[in-house]
Amino acid sequence: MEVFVCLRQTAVVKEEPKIQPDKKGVDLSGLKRHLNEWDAYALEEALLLTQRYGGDVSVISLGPKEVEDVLFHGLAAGAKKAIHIFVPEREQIDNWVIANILSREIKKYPFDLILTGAQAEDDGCAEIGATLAQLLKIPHASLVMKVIYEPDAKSIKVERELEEGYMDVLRLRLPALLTIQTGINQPRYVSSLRLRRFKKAGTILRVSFDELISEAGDVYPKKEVVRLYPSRPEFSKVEMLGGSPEAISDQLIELLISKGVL
Amino acid sequence: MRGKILVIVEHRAKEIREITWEILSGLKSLIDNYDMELQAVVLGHRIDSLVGELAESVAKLYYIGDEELEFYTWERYLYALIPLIEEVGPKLIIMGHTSTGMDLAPRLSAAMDSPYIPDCLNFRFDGEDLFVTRELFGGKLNSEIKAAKNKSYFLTLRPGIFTPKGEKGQQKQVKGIATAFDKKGFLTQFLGLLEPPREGIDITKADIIIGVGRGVGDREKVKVVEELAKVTGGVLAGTRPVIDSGWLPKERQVGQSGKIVKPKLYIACGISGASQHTIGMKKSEIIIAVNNDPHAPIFKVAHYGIVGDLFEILPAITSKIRSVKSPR
Repeated sequence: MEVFVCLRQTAVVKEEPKIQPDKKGVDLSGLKRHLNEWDAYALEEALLLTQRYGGDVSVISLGPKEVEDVLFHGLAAGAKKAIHIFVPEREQIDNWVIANILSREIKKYPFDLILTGAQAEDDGCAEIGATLAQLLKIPHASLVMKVIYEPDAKSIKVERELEEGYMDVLRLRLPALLTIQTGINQPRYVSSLRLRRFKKAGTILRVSFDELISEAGDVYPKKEVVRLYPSRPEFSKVEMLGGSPEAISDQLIELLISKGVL
Repeated sequence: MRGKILVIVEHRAKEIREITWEILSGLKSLIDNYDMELQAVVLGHRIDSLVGELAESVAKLYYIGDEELEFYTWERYLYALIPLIEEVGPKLIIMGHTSTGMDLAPRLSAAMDSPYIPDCLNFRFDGEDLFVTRELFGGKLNSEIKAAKNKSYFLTLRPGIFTPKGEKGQQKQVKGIATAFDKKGFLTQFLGLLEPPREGIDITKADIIIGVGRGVGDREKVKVVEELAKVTGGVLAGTRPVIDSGWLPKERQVGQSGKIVKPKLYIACGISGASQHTIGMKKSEIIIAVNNDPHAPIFKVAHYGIVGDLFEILPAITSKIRSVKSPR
C-alpha cells in the first residue's frame, strides 16, 4: 500500500511568542522547530501499515527551507520519498491554499492512503485533512485511533474518536484520507546520528510552489490574519499566591480550610 | 448585517448535544445588533422528540429525516446539506468545534467553495466584512481574522465558551426536507458506535482531583503529585499527552475526548491549559493552578495561581497538609 504523509513543522513555544511589528505574524527566529506532534503519530502509523502490508511511505511538506528538517526526519524514520514545496516564511497563505497545493502535487502519484495529523500545534485548525480529501474527491475520517487494512475489499476499517470516550467505527473505500489523533501508537525514536546521516545523503524532491499555484488556477486565500495579540490571563480574575513554597502552602491550606475542602 | 444563520445540530444517542444549546444561546447575544434570523437544521432518523425541543429555540427548523442519517457520517451529511444550504442561502453556517464539526465543516465549506474559520471564540460584521477571534499556540496568542468576501461563511465555535440559557419560545415552523441518496455510491460506511469503556475508577465522582500535565516532566515524577493526592484524599487525573505517554490510564483523562469533571477542588499541576483540557475541568468549584510559566493559559480558568517549580511547591503543600491533618 502506498501511503502519503503530510508533515508540518511547528515552532516550539514555551513562553509568549514574539509578534512581528506588522502584528500579522509570529517572529519565529530563535525558536526551536519540530515536527507537529500529531504528524509524528501520522508518520508512525504510515510506517507501521507499510511494514505490515508492504508498500512505501512518502512524506510531503510545504514551507521555507527549514521544513526540510522534518522531511529528513521522515526519511530517517523509514519513508522512501520526500517532497518539499518551497514557500517563503512570510508568504500569507492559508490552509485552503495549502490543501490545494498539496492536492495538485499528490495527484501526480499513485496512492492508497493519505495521512495527516488531526491538527497542528500552532494554529490548531484541524482543517487541511478534510479539505484535501474533498479536493481529491476521496473519503476521509478524522481523529482516527485505529486502522485495519482490508486488502481484498480494497477498504480500511477505522475507529475515530468522538467526545467523552465514544468511538465511531467506519469502513472507507480506498483511496482514502485519515487524520490521525495522538496516542494511536508510540512514534519511533530517530537517533541524531541517523538523522545527520540522512541530512547528508538523503534526497529531497524539490517542487516549485509557483508552478503548482498556476496549475491550480484561481486559488486565493479565503481568510487573512488582521492582527495578533497576546492572550494573557486576566490576573484580576485569578488570585496569585506568592512567596516561598512554605508561605504559599500556608496561604493555600488556610484557604482550603476556609472553603471547607480540607 | 441582514441574513440568515444556519446552525447544524449535533445529537448522539437520542439526545441533543450540549454544544448545540451553547451555540444557540451564544448566537442570540452575538447577533443582537444585526438583523439576522436564527435557523437550524437537524438530520436524523425517528427523532421527533428532538425536533420538537429544537423548534422552540429557533426561528425556523429544517428537519432532514432518513434512515441513512441515523448516525453521523460526513458523506451523508454533505449530500443532504448542500442542496438545503443552496436553497436557504444563509450568510453563516455554524457548528461546534467538536469531533463532528472538525470532520464535516472543512469538507462542506470546501465543497461549497466558501471561507471556513475553525474554533472561533466570537465573530462580528463590519459592514459586509466578517471578522472572528481565535486562539493560536494553545491559547498563548489571539488572532483576529478577516474572511475573504463571499455570499456565505462557515464557522465552528469553541465548545464551553457560551452558557446555555434554556430560553424557549413558542414552537416555530418545522420544515421537513426529503433526501434522495444514491446508497450504492457511498464511499464511507457506518459500522457502529462504541460506548466508553466502564472499567477502572470513575473520576467524575471524585470531590478532589489532582490534575497532571506534561509539565510534570516524566512518569517517575508523577509520584510527587500522587503524594499530594494521597494526603488530600483526592484522585489523580491527567491531560491527553499524559495519557498518550502512558503515565496514567485512559479512564483518568480529563478533557474533550476524556471526562468532564466538576469536583469541589481541582489542582492543575504542570498543565498549560489547552482548551481541549480546560473544557473538561473549568466548571470545578475551586481551581488551583501550579505552573512555572506565568503566561500559561491555565491561569485564565484558575481561581488561584501559583507560579513556580512544581517540585518545590507540591512537596511543601503535601507536608503542610499532612501536619495539619495529623497534628503531633
